[in-house]
Amino acid sequence: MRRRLVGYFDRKRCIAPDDLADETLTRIARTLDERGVITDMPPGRYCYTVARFVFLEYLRSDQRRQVSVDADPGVGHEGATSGDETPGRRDRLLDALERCMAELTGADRELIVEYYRGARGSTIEHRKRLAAERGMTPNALMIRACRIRGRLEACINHRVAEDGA
Amino acid sequence: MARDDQPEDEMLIEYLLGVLPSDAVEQLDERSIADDEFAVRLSELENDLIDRYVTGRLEKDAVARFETRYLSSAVGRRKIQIAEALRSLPPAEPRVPQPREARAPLIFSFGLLPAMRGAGHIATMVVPRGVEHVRWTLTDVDDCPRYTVVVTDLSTDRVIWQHDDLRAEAGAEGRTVQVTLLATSLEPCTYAIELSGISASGSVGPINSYPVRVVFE
Repeated sequence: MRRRLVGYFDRKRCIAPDDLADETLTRIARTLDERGVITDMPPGRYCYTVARFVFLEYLRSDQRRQVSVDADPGVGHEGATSGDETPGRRDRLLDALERCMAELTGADRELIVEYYRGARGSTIEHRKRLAAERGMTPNALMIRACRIRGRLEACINHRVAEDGA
Repeated sequence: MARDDQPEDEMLIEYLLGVLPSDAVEQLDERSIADDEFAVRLSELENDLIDRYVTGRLEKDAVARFETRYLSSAVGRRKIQIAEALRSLPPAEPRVPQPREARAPLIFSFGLLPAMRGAGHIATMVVPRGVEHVRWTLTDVDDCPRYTVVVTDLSTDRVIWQHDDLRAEAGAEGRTVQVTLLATSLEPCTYAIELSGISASGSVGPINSYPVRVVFE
């Protein structure tokens, strides 16, 4: 859920999508603490409702430096030249990737490595072969790879933030 | 949700690129959070979009829109960097059987029981020399879709490892959660491994604590 919320706030071009996702989850947790259970709507919809409130508050707050993507699709919220492309950061990212890969199970590690190894132009055939070797449909393989990649991204972001702290 | 409720890929790519008319955006925003199937499909499309960009396969007219959207966001730039890094991974090593005595096991596994309330017993794990990874198998983990684990060095109260999206595995000992970390990240001291469950609605609740004393051979 946190990843979905970060994606939502990022697509809205908010300045700190991670912070807004955390704020959303904090409010949901607080409601659960107070009420014990949310019964007036399905949980996912409730998360969206809270996220939307957080977003609307963000638009009105001083945090906002640029308007949302809905209101002004052509404007980015940060310069494209912020300092996260430096060699040091890239090394940290590669180091984090290595450590996060080590936390995967052997099967997941092998799958994700092989999944992204397809030569340019032959990706579809390569993945069909991979799926067949594992007795999966190409769609099931894609979903599995997507989930592993999502976990890796979350792990890498956590590691990089930890190292940068 | 019925298949015919699913928007076309082209529409979702416009949504991801931030060029969809605003009246269509809100419904997709809601589904991106509340609809599990839709959220997975959106992630797949986004991964594919980013992969096509980093491998130079993105259509020329989409590149400028992609860069406007993704290079202007720290989250977007990070996704691009990760996509590039995934392509630079070395190939999986062929599985060559090693003589058992030739080297220490790469992963040293150790089963852990939860701490009993009021009991002072702490399990001691002796890590063999040369081990690269340590795996703790946490038992008695309840039945949750996902788990979060925090490992704290009790001598300094410092969190040395954390994972927010682990899943249980079914085995002979029932459902277990496995925690694997680099042996070099451990010191000879006592750690608390705190396991919490994440419910389907996303709420987090503590399950068990697993104290363990680590000693190196």
